[in-house]
Amino acid sequence: MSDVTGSVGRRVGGAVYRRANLTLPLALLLPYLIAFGLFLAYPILRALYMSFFDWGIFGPNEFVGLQNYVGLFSEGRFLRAFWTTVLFTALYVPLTLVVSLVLAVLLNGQMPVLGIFRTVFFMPIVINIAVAAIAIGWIIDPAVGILNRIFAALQLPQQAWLDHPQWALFAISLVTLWANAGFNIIILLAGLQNIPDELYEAARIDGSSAFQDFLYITVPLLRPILLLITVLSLVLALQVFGEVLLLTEGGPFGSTTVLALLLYEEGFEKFALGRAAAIGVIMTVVIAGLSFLQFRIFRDP
Amino acid sequence: MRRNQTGRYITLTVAASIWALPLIAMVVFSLAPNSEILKMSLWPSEFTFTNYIEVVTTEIRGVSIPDSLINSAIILAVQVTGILLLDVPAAYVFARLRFPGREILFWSILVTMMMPGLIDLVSLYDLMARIGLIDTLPGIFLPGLPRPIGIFLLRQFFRQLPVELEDAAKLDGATDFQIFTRIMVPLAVPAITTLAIITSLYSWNNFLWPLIASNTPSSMPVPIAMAYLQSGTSPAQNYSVMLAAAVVTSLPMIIVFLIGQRWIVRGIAPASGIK
Amino acid sequence: MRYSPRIMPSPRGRHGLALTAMIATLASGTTLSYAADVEFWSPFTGPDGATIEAMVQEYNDTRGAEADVNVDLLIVPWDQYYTKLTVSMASGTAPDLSIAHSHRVAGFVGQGALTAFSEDDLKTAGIEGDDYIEALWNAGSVEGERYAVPIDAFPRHIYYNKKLFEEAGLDPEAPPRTLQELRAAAEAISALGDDVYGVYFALQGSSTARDFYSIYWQYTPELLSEDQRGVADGFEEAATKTLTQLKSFIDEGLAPAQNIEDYEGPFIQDRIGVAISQITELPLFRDTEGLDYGVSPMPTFGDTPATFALGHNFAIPTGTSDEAREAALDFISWFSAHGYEWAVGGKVPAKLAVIESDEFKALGPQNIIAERRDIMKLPPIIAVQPEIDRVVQEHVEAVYAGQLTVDDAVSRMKMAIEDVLASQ
Repeated sequence: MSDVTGSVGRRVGGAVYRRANLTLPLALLLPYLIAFGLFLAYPILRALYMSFFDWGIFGPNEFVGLQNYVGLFSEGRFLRAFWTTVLFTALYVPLTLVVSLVLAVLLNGQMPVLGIFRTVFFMPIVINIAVAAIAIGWIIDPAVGILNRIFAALQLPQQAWLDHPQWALFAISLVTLWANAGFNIIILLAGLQNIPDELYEAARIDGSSAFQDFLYITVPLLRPILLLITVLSLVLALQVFGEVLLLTEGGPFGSTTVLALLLYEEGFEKFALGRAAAIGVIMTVVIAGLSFLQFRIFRDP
Repeated sequence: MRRNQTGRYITLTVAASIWALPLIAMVVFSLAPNSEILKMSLWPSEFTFTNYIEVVTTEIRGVSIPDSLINSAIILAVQVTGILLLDVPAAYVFARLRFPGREILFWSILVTMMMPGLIDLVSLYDLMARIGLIDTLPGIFLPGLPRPIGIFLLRQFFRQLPVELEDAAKLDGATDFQIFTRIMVPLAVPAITTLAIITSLYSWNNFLWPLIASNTPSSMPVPIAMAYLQSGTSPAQNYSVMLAAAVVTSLPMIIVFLIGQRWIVRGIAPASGIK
Repeated sequence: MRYSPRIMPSPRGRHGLALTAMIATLASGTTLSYAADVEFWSPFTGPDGATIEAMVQEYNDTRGAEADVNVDLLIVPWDQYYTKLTVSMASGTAPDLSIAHSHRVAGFVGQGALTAFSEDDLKTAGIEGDDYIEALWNAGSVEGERYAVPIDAFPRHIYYNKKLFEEAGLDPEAPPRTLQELRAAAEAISALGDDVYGVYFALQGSSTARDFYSIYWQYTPELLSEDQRGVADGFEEAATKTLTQLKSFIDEGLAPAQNIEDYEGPFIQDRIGVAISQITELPLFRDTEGLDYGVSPMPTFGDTPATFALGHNFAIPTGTSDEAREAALDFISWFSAHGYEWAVGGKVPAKLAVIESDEFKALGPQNIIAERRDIMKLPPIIAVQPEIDRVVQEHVEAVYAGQLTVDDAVSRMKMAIEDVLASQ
């Protein structure tokens, strides 16, 4: 049976590369590329194009070059949103890293009861953002929320959890953590299962405590996964939108107005599509840049 | 010699209680009449199923939860099938079949994951309007097909499969295509299952695009129908029904997830760089 | 795909229709035949949604059948409404007829998104400015061209709990009309209990700006300067007085210090004495059994009575065919004449003939508010008004939350408004 591709195999690195014949690659790739081109690449490129114009409801009003970008960087609202987003990310990423890691370590194991615990921590990733907002809203509603009922029962003063500008952002990071940590835990569990038990046993014989095990065995071996999770969390945090829109709409006195929300407002409320697109481009550059940097700096030598 | 596990289980119990509180509270109070919402008690004094009955039977201008469940199911079926059909072959190409520009293409696809999802919504709407697909089911499910996560996940998976498998197959005279269909795909089942589950979650819960792209009940998936039925009703009147609706609309995915839970870990493992 | 809407019977039954039918025939004049479909998007949901559905159906069955017009109603819930409307405009799939709030019209016009009504259009449809409340009619005109035909107005005013008034020793038929009276009532009622508040007004959300405007305009008539480049001369003084007074209610414990999202609950439970709100809330209170409530115009804090009002309007998006536009106008004029049915749901109809009709006057609360239509004031008609509203809202919210002092807030508000105006 002759091989249509007539390959000459060369072993390079870990993969085998076959030269030249493009029929199969093309055939396998084309369906995806068509969908990608039409529904992802085209709208994105068009948005990029729009960012160089003053673009209104009915199309371009005039070509403005880099004006949108320059204008944004000299505008208080944008700079503030930028800062808020950075702040949020700085809150969220370490928080989720630590919480996910600790929980994953605690949840790792074969005991059936651990399975039940795991399910509890996974649940929030299954529900959609609107349901999450309803569930969380029900807890923290100042008037009838469960949390304030508990506080009332404990004779503590009632709180309006999302009403304080200083705390609203932190509160949203907690909600985002609750809604997304499950993913990180799943990935971490997969990694933890691959750490051979012998290492822990050997350490135990040497008298190592659980904490030392964690510090000297678990964490170093999980490095690539921790890096992955950090990048994923970073990307998520820099783009956070749904939670903010549904919980605070930009928050008390603009304290939770993050970049994605600003994009939404510029694009869908003011219909300044050129500026909205510019915000999107800036965000992409920041996100991609930071991700790339992280991989560079923290990858295994 | 087992270390003392009490500390561990105490921590887990406390953490899990806090973690589960929002959802449990939601379920508990969805089973109580709305009057319980306005009282300040920690636990309802009476329970009822009326909220759920209302969720299932309410219909406003043709919008109803049961109808939207059908829409969501169709969208999900098409998207999962479509994404698997598109992504598996494409990921294999990126992992194993070389061609000029492959890496650039791959990274270009990947970089779209770094973009805020909102950036292209208006252009997408414009495109779909010109094709005439606004307010149709295809208009809802088509844009979700090229999501890069599948490519990423499956490529990682394919890359860490031993090369020897392919070499052996070549020696037996198999074509590239046969290698793909007879060896690679079956081996990729764990990752494919993971992708199917992740895609299901995305499909069912997708909110922003369907919000903009659907206007009438013919194309409304579950989250949009829920939002529609909620607006214009005073929360003071039927918060408990809203809670019940939230539970009902989340149930299918909870079930899917519970069933598919162990597959996800197996599928994700290779993607995260573990051998 | 057409779905069959669930139709609720008009609450007033058939006799109301006969009267309105008479007014309608008097108003609509010609009997042209249009042979057109009108795609009509409206943001009204809940009881309003049912009302507009019923009215559209009625039009299609009666006048529409005569004139060969079919109005195709699509309800887009109000929180998505403007997003979808603008997106549809951008892609050329906008409806033939839409609803627009008064403060949105200028923005749309600035983007070229609305088609103007010509003199002929209006004449054929029998729509004349004199027939409408002046403030509302003026709000629909941008740079001398008419882009919106008013439907109704919903001014800010107060609901008060008569039972609490009695308990506090106040006359339940004498709602507070001035700041002093409001204060006195609030003090008396707040004294009734720990969780009873004399006054309620929103501490968050768009209502904060609206209530602010209501009081502000009682001190000085304009928000912006003549050239619309900055705030009016009396801004600082009026804004300071407004905020100080409103804040004092909170500081003195007469109004809740925490925002209550759904004040209707506590009001119904007899825990709020006077609530500042708008007439659109009426159906909830009216349909609650055992609630003894009253309605009264906005109390006057300042020198002149005034209150903030916004209205709904009909507007025609750009791209509507001429046939559809003319047919839409027929529907618009019919709808205006039938303003009574719409007003039942808690509105002040824009058409004077409806306000002065006997059946409308028999509608207690709406009539009380409509009688003081002379104090209704709409926000400036400029494209960036929604942004100015947002600025005001943010600062007022901050004052209520204790984040900013009144003086700080006023000076920042001034600067922020100037920024918004400069960005045009």
